[in-house]
Amino acid sequence: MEWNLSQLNALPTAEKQRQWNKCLELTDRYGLKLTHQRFEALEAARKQALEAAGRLDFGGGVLDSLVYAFCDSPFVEPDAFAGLLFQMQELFYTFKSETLNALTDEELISVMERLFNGEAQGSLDYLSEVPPQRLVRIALGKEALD
Amino acid sequence: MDALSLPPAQWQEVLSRVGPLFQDCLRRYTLGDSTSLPVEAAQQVFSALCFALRQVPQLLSGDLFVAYRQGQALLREKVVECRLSGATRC
Repeated sequence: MEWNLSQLNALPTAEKQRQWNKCLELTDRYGLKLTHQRFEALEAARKQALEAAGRLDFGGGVLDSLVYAFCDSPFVEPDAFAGLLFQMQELFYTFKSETLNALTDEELISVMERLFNGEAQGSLDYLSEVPPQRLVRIALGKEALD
Repeated sequence: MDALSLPPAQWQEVLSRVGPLFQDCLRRYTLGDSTSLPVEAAQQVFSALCFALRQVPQLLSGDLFVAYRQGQALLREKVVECRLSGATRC
């Protein structure tokens, strides 16, 4: 009775394409360079990031949420947006596990966005060094950001 | 024949149909707040799902969502029976 949990197909292809098209419309508006091929590569990277974080995705991932959160960041270069998404996606799943699932997807992305656009000044290295306890404190409003 | 006595090949057939039900269980487990969870937690949810399904006879022919609800109801009934019998002894 073999059945691998990773066989779970989170989103049908048509739904995924619809999500990607919406993201592409948005990124076009901000002059950011993103393509379907890039999305496919990001999708493959998502699977690796999930595996590295020991997680199972069942809802289609957070790629679109990350696009919405970071497309208007003043620290994003048009050519570097896809690269940023690669790293943000990986960081998201790492943080999700490090915070012991205490934060919802929405809360975590909001904190990451506020830190990245604020005190991190667009530095992913800085963001990746933020302790998980602090992420939770910020998300729960126990610590205010400048 | 109850679900417990299904041969492995037939269990495989049940499992191949279980994806949407499993997704639904995971969604409810995370209260809709997360699109992912630790693999260990997913495995526990999956074990619980299988345990509920095993209570139901004629698993192969019916809708798995309905079978799952029937399995849950049977398990709840057993839990209540156990509690009541425990309470009577005390």
